[in-house]
Amino acid sequence: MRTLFVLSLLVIAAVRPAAAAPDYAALNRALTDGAVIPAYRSLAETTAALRDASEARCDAASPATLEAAKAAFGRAMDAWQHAQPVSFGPVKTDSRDVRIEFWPDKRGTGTRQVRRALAAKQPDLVAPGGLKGKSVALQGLVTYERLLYDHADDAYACRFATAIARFQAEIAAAIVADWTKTGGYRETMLTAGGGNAQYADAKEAATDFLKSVATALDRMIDQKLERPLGDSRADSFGTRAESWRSGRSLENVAAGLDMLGLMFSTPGGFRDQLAAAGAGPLGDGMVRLFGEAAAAARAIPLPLSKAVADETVRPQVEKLLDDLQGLRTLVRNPVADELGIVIGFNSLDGD
Amino acid sequence: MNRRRFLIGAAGAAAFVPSFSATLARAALTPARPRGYAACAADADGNFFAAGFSADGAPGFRIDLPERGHDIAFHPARAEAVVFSRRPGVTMHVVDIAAGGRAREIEARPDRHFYGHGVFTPDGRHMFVTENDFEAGRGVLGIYDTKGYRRIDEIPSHGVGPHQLRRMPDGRTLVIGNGGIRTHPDLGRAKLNVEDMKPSLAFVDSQTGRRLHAVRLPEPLHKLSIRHLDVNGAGTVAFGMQYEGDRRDRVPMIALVTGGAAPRLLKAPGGVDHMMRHYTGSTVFDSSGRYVAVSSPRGHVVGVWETRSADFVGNVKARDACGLAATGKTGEFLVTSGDGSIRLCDAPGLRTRELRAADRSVHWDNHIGVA
Repeated sequence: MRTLFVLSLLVIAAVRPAAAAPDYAALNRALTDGAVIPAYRSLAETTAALRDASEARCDAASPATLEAAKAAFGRAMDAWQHAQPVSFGPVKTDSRDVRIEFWPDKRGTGTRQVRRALAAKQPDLVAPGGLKGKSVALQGLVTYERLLYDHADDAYACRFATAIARFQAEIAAAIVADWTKTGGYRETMLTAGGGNAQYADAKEAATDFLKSVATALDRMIDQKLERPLGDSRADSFGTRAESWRSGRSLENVAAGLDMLGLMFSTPGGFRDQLAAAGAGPLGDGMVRLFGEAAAAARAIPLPLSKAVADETVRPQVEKLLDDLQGLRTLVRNPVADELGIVIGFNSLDGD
Repeated sequence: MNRRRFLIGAAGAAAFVPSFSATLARAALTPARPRGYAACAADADGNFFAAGFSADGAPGFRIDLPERGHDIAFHPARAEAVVFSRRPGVTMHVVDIAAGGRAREIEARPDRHFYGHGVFTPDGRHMFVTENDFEAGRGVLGIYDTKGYRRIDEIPSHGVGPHQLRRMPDGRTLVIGNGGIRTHPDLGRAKLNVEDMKPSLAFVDSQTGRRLHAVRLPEPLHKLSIRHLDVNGAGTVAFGMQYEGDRRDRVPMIALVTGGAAPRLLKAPGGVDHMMRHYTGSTVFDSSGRYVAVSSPRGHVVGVWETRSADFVGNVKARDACGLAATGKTGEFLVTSGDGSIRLCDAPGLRTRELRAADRSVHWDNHIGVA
């Protein structure tokens, strides 16, 4: 690139005359209905399908049902990665986000607990509702992947995985319900303009969306790319890549970037509001850059766990990292400035 | 109880007796021009570090941090500072300032994590650090021998989610903001008990671990998390809160406590809750103890009150401002912001000026440590 293009966007933003203000209420409605709720509906559908595929595999273990379960897992993980950037609202209730995906697991809690559960074949875990109130390290998609890829021949592991898939389908359905029900979070976003329990005004609600974009980029940069990359090829750590067992770490990043791009491009979304504020080229540039970054992530020819240690492919990952850092700079500075939103360091996440 | 009897009693009750000297305690609380400051920060690429600077803004030590830092405490005698990682962090860094900022990493006990604040005893032999006994869901103060920063004991914080703590003027009593919010490191920073949180301001005898006294706000205000606090030379405690409830609720954000009297809630035109968007950052007294300043990075504002009358002096708009410290001058505060600025705010006149040119690539984090 893209570095030059990023710079040009920074310059465009700097020299543009002041114009009309963005419509925060319109933005909130557009992103709620055009990006967030569809993403959670998709998560509910794909986790329900994962539950069905898991049950089918336990009923009749075969290469075909195993492949079907792997495909269903991929679709559910895609849906989660697409929804993950939304970092507020019902997904935070009862730590649902961590229960969907407990990662990174820096203390190795998952490894320890799964090993113990498999050794003991604990019947309570696989009983109906048995995962409720259990450790987050046993409830989520990372453990599902581990059971599917590392313990495919273990009948207990199959039932355990099915219990996880059921639990995930319930969580996803609950998130959809909490957004869409009467008095739900959709209403909270749409009524923010008059002040409500969560927000003082529509701008405060819109700030949650832009913070979500910034936080998602932070997560991609710090956790999904930099941790496995390490400082050098010798220092890289392939199994620190997210979803390394299924080899879909980079697809995860791409699915998240698709969501960020959608939040800009959806009618009434960030691009349209930037245009309303007189910064149309910046909004167009953001849509283009998110699209290019997602394509670049998908074009890397090795799984991330291998790419980080590969002499010829590693530079492509480093380039992707650069691109995401450029996007982060744009989001935190000109995009936030043009939208009149402060994503400060302290105001974003204090203590 | 005389001191000798106390020490004998304490030695019987616990394996450790923190050092105590009234003279040292007074010396540590005597207003003086700070020798310097330090604060945690992030750079433009999101790397975390801690940096010192002198009272006139000249850069001092700089160390890289493996995780986001929070507050910094200076040793009262040695050229040494301890950087506390932010919750749920598990590292502290002991900076040897004389050696150009060489740092040693101290790890939390495996079943504890840090909250981001700590204080030295007046003689500097021991340090108390707020920690989470996360399996039990109770707050503790880890006690470290500063010779090698070995953790030698702990006492209860008498609440959940202990955050900032300070010494009272007697040098021996600690005042602790127990935020009341239960968290577990496996769940990141998720709040697990907002509905039934019970924050408190606890006064604890550092030598016995006994709670001497606690301040709680009445029931409808139980979602006000008590976080940051300061003590002036007269023993008045100012504490700032963060509200976990409905944004439409009108609630106090800052209070003063003197002795056993009921807390005095600070007010401002239009409401402190609106001004501060239900969230306070740092709370500090000026060097005279006459003024108290409270920052709100969400409200992008620093408010100042007069301690004795509890009157609102005024506020200063400051984008993403959070770090506050007293300078040596009455009514003057240092203010750091996420936008890289370091400013002086003259409270009575509400004028600000840059202490040094802002470095926009630096995001100053929540607090300023004072040497």
